[in-house]
Amino acid sequence: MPSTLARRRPAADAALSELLARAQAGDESAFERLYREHVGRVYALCLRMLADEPAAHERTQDVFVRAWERLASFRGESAFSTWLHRLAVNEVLMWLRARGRLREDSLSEGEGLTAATTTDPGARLDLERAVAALPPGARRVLVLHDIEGFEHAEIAELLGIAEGTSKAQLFRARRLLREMLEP
Amino acid sequence: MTDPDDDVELERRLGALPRSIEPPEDLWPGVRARLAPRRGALALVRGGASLRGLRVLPSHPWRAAAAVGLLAVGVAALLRVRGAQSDWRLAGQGRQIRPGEMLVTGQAARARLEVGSIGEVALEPGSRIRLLKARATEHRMALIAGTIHARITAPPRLFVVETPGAVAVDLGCAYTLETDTAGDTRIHVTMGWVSFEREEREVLVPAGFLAESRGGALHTPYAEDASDALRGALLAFDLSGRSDALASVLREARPRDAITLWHLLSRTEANARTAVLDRLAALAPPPDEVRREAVMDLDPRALRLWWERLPGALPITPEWRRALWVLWLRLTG
Repeated sequence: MPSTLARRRPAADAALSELLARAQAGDESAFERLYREHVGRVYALCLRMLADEPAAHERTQDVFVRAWERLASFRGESAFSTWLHRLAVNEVLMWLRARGRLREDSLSEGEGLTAATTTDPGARLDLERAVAALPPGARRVLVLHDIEGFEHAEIAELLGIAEGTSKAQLFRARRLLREMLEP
Repeated sequence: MTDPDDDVELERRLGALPRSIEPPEDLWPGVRARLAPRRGALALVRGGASLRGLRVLPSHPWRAAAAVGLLAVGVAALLRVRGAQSDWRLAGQGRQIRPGEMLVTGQAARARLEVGSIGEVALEPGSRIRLLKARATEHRMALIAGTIHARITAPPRLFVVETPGAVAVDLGCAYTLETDTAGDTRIHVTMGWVSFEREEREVLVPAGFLAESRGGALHTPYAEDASDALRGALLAFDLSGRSDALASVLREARPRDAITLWHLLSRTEANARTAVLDRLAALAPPPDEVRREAVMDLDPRALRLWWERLPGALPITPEWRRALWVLWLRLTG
C-alpha cells in the first residue's frame, strides 16, 4: 500500500479511534466527521481514475456508503485511511468491471489521447489535465503507481492484468505525458 | 530510449500532485440519504422489543422460524457471553492457553479447546494454531496448518480464524477449516454460516456449502452435493475466467446451486453477468422489488434482497448483525 500516508500524532490517533468506535456503533455524526476528513483523498482517487467528474461524484458517494456498510469489519489492523483507500480502489474497479470497461479499455486502446485533448492540441496542458487525457488503461496504472504508490504486482492483481502489462502501461503513460508536457 | 532524468523529473512532478481534491459540491447529503436503513436498525435495538428491521419473508414460513430462532439463539448467546469467561482452555486438562501461545498436535494426536464459554475448537492430528485474542468481545486465532472443527454459539463476528489464505468470520455456526503448507484453505460449513474474507473480498458460506482460497484468491462457494461437472467448471472459471467454463456452470446449476450463481454476479463482467442473472432468475426468482438494472449494476441492496430469497440462505442482514452487537454493548455497559 502507499507509503505516503500522513503520520498522525497520538492525540489525533485517539480522536480517530473514538470517532471510529462511535461510527461503528451507528453514530452518523461521527461517520460524517470521518467523511469530511477523508473525502478529498477518495474524490481525488476517483477523479483521476475515471477522468469524469459526475462519475467521480457518484463513486465517491458509493465508497462512503460501502465504508459505512463494512465499518464493522474494520479492526484497526491497518490505518483507517489505508483501509478506506483500498476500499475506494476496489469500488472504482468493481464499477468499471460491472460495465465491462476494464476489458474494453485494455482491448481497444490505441496510442492516441482522449478526445478532450486532441481537439485542442495547441493548448498548454497542466499535469493534472495531461493525466486526465491519457488513455484509460494507461491512466489507471499511472495513477495507481506514480500517484497512489501501489506496486506493479498489486496493480496487476487489482486490474486483472499481467505484471508486465502494468509496467508496459506505465512506460506508455509516462511517454505520452512527456509528449504532452513538452514545451 | 527514455532519458532516466526525464522519468525522475516526471515522477517528482506526479508525486507533488495534491493527494486530496475537495469535490466541487458537498456530497455528504447524498451519502447520508443512503445510510438510512441502518438508522431503522438502530431503532430496533433502542426500542428493545420490536422486531422491525429483521427481514422475515412471509412467502417462506421456515425462514421466519429460522430468523426468529436465530434471534433467540443470538440473544441467548449474548446473555451467556455477558460476564462469561473468555479464557481458552484445553478440554479435560483445564490448562489455559494464552494469547501468543501456539498449540501443535502430533501426527497421531488430537486436541480439544474450550473457547471461553461460547464454544469449542477441535484440532485434527498434524495441526498448528496460535491464539491471538481471547476477549469477551473478540476471540481470534490463527490456523497455521492442519484441520480444525469449530462449533460456536455466539453473536456474529465474535469468533474469527485467520489462515494464510483467508479469514473465517463466524456468523453463528459449526464448520471444518483446513489449510495446507502452501496456504491454500478450504472451509466446509455444517451449521449456520460463515463469512470467508480476504482483503476487501468476501464470500458468504451457508451450511452445506464449501469455499476455498487458492493461490491467494477466494474462489466461489459451492454446495457439498454439487455435481463434479459443476465443481470442475467453477474451478476453471475461478482460475481463468473462461466463458466456456461459465457456460458449463450455468448449464449444470440446480436450484440448490443458486447461492453459487449469486456470488458469480459480482465476479462477471456485463455480458457474462446477463447470462448469470437469467439463469439465477430461472432457478430462484428474485423478489418483485429487485430490478434487473439494479442487479446488473451490482446494487448492494438489490443483491441482498435477492440473497435472502435464495434456497439455503438465511435472512441475516448487516443491520441484524449490528443490532445484536449494539444490544450486547449496551447490556455490558
